[in-house]
Amino acid sequence: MRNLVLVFLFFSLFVFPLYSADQTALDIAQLIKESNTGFVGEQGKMEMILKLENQEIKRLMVSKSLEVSPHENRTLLVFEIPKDVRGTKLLTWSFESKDDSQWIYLPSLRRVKRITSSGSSSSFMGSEFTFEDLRNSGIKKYEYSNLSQLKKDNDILWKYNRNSLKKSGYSKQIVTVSKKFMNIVKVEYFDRSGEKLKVAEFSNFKKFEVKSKVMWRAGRIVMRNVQTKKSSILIWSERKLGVRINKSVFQKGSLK
Amino acid sequence: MCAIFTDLASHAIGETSNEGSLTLETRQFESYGDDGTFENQRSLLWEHKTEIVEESNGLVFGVKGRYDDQDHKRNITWPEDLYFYQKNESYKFVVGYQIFNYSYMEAFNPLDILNARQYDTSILNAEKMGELSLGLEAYVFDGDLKLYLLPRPAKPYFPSSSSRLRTDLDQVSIAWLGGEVDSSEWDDHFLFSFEISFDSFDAQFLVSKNIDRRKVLVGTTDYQEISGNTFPTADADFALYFSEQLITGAIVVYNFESFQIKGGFASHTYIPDTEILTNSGLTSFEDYSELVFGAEVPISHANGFDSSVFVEYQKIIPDSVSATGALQNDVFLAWKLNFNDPTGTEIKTAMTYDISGNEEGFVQADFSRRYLSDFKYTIGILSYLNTESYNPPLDDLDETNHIYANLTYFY
Repeated sequence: MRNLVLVFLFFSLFVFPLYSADQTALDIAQLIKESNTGFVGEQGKMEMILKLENQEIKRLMVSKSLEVSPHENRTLLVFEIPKDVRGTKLLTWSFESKDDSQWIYLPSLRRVKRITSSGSSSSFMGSEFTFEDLRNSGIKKYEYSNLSQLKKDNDILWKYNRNSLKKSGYSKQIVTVSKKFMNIVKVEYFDRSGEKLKVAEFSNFKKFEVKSKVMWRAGRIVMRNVQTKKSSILIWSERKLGVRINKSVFQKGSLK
Repeated sequence: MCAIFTDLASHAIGETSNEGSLTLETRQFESYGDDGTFENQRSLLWEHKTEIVEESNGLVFGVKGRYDDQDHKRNITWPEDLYFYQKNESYKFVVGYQIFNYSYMEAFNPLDILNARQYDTSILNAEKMGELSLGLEAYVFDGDLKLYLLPRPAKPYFPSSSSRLRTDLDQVSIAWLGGEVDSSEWDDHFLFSFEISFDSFDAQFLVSKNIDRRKVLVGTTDYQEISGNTFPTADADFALYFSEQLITGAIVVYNFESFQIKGGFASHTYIPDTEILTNSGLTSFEDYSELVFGAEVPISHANGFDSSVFVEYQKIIPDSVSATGALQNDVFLAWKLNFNDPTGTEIKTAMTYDISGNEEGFVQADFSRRYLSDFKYTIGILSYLNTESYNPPLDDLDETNHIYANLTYFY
């Protein structure tokens, strides 16, 4: 009997370790963050497809990210298509709680420009994504509420609300997180008047292993604007995690 | 030349990238009678850049050129980036022609003082030409340190008397005061700069010895005094004089709440004190300082458009120096509307106005949009205000109001 209890306790660690009735949405957000830290460096190509009424327009970017610390990430996006903005670089320093810093290098002007925080709600390259959507979401930049849990197929999904404590283009976001992938799988965005604006769905998760730690990354994000019916799709390829990238690459002075 | 270089590059070891553009430029000036200048100018601007990267080494080949079928003096090619670099985790060594850009504001950039310019286009955003440089860039103290030697300052380009943007200077040479550009000797010019970012601040400090190519005096150093009056000698050479200077400056950009504040200064100390005989008598370059302030206010519109309002102010101290430049004690106002559409549609309007009483300035407006995936067109208007009050050589901007249309193909 004692052995049975021990076996039950042992398995319970794996079956029910991540959620209890006492857990809050903040705990889940923290758990997701911890599950995705330790990637060291990341790089890959991003294709963005803008779906309009009668046409599709493609954008191509190269992405590099560096984990400076568990509380600070730096990301560099280099635009390749459209050709008139080729060489444009977007550098983001994301922090856990304080405001992110963002700079854009405009090759036509040969100029590096700091982006204002309110500029983050602007459309990213004419897509349904905004600069804010593409930033790393620091845990302490939001307040969390309304945690719920549901089962779907072989996965457990947690759902909660998060409201930005910083200046944001959204009044509220409803986030759905997958226990299987330890990642966000859906975000519903509400505009400042409280109306649902956009839905982002994350799919094509791919497994990576960095220093024996397993991490998942979505290979595809579909952002649908429910008000305009337009949508944009982000697709990753040639993605690598655990890559060592020099910190100087993510300096403002290196953008030129 | 590009084809040869690209062919060579393809045989080189390393990753090679090529990019460039061809722009069909047209501009129609206001009618000014038959003065021998072209009221309609059309040209082909081409730009090519090849970069070969092999591990920590790289070679950049970037050139630009313009062809005008009417005004052949516009047919020039110049290097933009033509350099070799070697870098590792903490430093980058660079040798070759480079363009340096230290502009933080839309109009007034006291630290953006390097490189010769092509004054064939906009006064504010005149095209830069690459400058021979030898330098070291290092990542230290969480900032970017740059140390460069700039041994061969390039001369600025002025449009010929055939262009409506004429300077009537076909027979007038360009001369340095203090420099050695016209001899075989090399100049001891240098650049030291340090850029750092922290929290919501960007800051840059700069010290440089170079030729101040933004201030010019037209006249001669060949003169004689007769009975207390000064006259040019019989064989006097008149020239556009630019002077060697030591510049020290700094600029700070700060994101405050939802808008951005900028401020900076530069102190210019001229090294030679040579006197030049100009139309206004004997004069020399006078040391001066620049103070600039600016704000950028972004606005999000309900229809998804974004716009930005820019307000900038520049003050030159002392006032007596104002007479030798285009922008002295001016206010700059601009509004940029971004449609946030897939074609990248943008409307820009801008104006500068001299508030010191001269009423000098300009207004500009343009509209640009991507066409298909590889083309972009821009149409606009540029009008100078009260050009009759400008000092030489800027007084030649009189009657140069024009509309322009450019179509660019990117490859």
